[in-house]
Amino acid sequence: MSLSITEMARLGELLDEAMTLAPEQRFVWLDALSEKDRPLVKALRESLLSDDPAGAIAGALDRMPGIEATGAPDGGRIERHAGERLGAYELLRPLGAGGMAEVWLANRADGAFERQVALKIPHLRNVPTQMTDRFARECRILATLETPNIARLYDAGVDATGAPYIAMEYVQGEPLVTWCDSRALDTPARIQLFMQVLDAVSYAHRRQILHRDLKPSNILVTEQGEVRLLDFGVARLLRGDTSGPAMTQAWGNALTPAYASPELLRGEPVDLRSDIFSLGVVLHELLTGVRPGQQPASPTDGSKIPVMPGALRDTVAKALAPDPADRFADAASFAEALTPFGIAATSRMRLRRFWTRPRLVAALAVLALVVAGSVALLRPHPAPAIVQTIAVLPFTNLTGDPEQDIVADGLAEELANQLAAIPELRVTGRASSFSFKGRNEDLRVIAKKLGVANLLEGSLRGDGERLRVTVQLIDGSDGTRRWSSRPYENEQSGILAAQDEIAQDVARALSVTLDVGELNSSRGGTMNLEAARRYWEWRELTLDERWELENQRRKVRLMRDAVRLDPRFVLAWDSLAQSLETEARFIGDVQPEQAGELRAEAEQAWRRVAELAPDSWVVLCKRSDDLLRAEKWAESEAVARQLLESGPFNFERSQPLINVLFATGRINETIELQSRVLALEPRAMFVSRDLQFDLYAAGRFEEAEAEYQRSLTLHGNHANVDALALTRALARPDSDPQALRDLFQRSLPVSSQLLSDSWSDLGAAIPNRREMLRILRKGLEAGEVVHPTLPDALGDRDLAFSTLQPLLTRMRGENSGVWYVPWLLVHSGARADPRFKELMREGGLADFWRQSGKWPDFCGPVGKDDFECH
Amino acid sequence: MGEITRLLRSAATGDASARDALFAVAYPGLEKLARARLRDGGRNTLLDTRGLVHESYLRYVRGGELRADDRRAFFAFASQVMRSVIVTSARERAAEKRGSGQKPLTLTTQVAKQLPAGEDEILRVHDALESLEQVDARLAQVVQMRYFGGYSEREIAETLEVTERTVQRLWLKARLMLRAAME
Repeated sequence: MSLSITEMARLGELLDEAMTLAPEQRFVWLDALSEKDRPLVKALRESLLSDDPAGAIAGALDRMPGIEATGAPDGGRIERHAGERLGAYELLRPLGAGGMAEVWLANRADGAFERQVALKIPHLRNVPTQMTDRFARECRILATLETPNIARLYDAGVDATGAPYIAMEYVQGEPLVTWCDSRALDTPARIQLFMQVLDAVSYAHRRQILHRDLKPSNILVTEQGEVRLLDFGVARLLRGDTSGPAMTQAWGNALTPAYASPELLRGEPVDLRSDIFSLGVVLHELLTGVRPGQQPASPTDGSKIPVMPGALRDTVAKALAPDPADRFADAASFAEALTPFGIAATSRMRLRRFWTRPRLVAALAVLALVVAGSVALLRPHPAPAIVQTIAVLPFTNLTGDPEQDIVADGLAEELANQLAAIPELRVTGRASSFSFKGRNEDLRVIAKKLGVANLLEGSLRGDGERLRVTVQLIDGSDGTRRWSSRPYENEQSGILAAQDEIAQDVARALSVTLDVGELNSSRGGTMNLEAARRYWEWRELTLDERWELENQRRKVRLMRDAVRLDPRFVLAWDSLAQSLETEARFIGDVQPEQAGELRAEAEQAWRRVAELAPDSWVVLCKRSDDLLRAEKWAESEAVARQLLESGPFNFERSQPLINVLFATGRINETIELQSRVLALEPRAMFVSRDLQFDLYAAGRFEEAEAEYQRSLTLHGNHANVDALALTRALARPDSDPQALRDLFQRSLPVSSQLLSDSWSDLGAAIPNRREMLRILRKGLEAGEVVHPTLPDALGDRDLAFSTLQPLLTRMRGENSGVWYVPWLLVHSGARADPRFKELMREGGLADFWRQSGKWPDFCGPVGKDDFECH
Repeated sequence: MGEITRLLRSAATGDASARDALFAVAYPGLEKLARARLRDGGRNTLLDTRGLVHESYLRYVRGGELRADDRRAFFAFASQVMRSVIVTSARERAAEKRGSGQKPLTLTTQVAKQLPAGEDEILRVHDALESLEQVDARLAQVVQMRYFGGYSEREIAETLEVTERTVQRLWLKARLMLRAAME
């Protein structure tokens, strides 16, 4: 190729100019061309200056190409068979064929990893025979889409015969629309599911990856109700069109016209709003059964709406606007607009699944109630203490292109803005930070002048097309590096979009890695980025605790990896121990031996923490927790307070004090502290869940209900909070039976392996309260775990105490949360019962109150030796 | 054929997934048809893509089964398929000529010389077209439809919703650019 893309583009512009001129004017025009267009003159002269410019080229390419038979019996199309190898893969069975590729279920045959993949083999052979760097890079970019809702791209290549292939995660699921139809989901439930789609698309868009072929058959739902998007970005790979700019699309406009945006059909360059359009078509079909413009289908069940209500229709119409500028700017704002329509989702799907399956249930749903905590976004938060100070220095432009200065500055400034939104952070203003631009000052001096403890500096590298940003967190006191980011790489046009990610990582580094840094200064945190990344993922899972077994197992896996990557990573050892204990608690009833092994491993992990960092805050956490389990209330509280003061306020440091406060009955104080945590982690399900329990114990049911509704918008369904909502509803005599049944079904944990016969009977007995109580009593007699909040909510104080006793006996000394339970008995007047008082004496709480003077919200001293609760 | 008919019938009743599937099925169908032509007794060794697309299109629209608004999409799609078939065959032949191919030649090079456009030109046009696609997608679309799809200027104008005059201008410009790029 003699012309570069840039030259070719310029040639096009010049031709447009020249073609408006008369032939004789072209000589003058050509001579007047500027120096930088010189290389194109020859091509232009040949094209334009012959006697007959049109004629000169008229014959060119005018003949149709012809091709010759090659003698292959099927005309050259390769038939593939099971058992054949393609690259490193062995074909197992065909999964299907589409317009662009055939898809096989395949096994990695060289043992590099053990996993079945969906192997896509394009029909189109115009993927470059030699796998170009660009193609490889494109695959690498797609492989960075690591989110559960997007099927992973594992590998891509070209085999020895030149056949390209793409190995993707094999997803077993049903297309979105049929999945919803076969379960007769109502509109809110459909919208909730669609929100998962938007989440995933938004994730990919933030990485500048477009899907380009979104349609129901590319959106699968697994049996567990999780959305998986297939083929993200693959449309481009399949066409072999890997050489174009990532955010534009040259052609291939006939892939799936029914879902394609108008601009895509016209073959114009597209951006993320083209995907938004396709999503609009999908949503329209999901809700009404037909795509926009089609005749409404006659509704066969109540699940679809032939005509959408006005506000919802407007939302869908906005996504479908012919002009991209009129659509939602991104998937997140689409999701935001849809949120109100998805909230009322009931769980018909779960209902069906439950009644058609064996009575698989959880005593543990109930054990899970044995945890406490608190929060409320709904009330104003107390102003958080400033715990970190930071200045973002102007980024260094190392691209060699002075024009990129503006990008470097823009990034730094945007990042500072984002960080400033974090309440616990004080960020120095731009004017001060940027005054050091281009000055070669010692970092310690800069930190001192700006009065900050941390500095963030970054650099920008890259060539004309892609840019790479890395940032480093510098300790202002000694100028050393505390943390280095991974490189954030993107197309030039998209690099600013990476700033969200950078800001999040920096925030994490400030709240988490600085702690690791503390440990490092004495003995062993981690400087291993891979280990740290696993820890962050673990932490995110923890904050979004779903109380599902699979989640616990994943957390254990993550932390086992982390300590393997860095055996001196104290936080990871601690997290590993916690997760092991939790998993053991999950399976303890049915698999006592395995649970024992897990506990032993946890013990070892904790010993490791104590060896590595005997004075660290991590050890304080554990100590406070141990003391709580030993029912040494005063000592536990003292350690918890020491811990809270030991460093930046965060989720980890506040948890032990929250636990002590709740267990000793100071519920309103718990709520206050938990609210501060929520301000830091507003999207953390764990925190929201705990707040709902706190508010419940405090009898603040309306606030609990409001927080419950908010939590549903976070991540949808959560068994714990659903169970709590159920008890709230049971306590109200006027609750709608169907609503009770729905809540009951929702509160069944999805992945629990425990069986309880009476639990399913209980569901069947709704709304007959007497019958429900009879079943609970029967279960108790049969030795099942019955949570005391249920009989309490149903008004049976005696049964509440009868169930509380075995729970305490069984779990005292083992679960630090067991003393929360008595405070959850709020409906049947149990706290005023003499048995409650006896229990508080027995647990040493009465002594603690008297000695410390820290009386709980619902009890107070009477005379010298006595007290009363209500 | 049976499946296409079934899908067309479902598509005609407004079944969304059937229309999707139709496209999925149409690709191999078109390709097979193209290959069949190539084996047609040696008399018809040249691939008359235009005739082919028309034939398959007519086959689909007979009885009004394919809607009018699908026509443009179908034509654009078909030219893409043709390009792929042509380029693949050209690559195979080029490989055979280099002696690396395993498939025997059934036609003599004599015949090959009579081909309107040899595989070398095809591959060079294809490569240059990939660059052109990045510079101007619409120009590239015109080339694809004209050169690989064999459509008339009027048909291209209809598909792209522009005037015939514009197509002529685009086609001239595209060829000038391709020629420069291929030199």
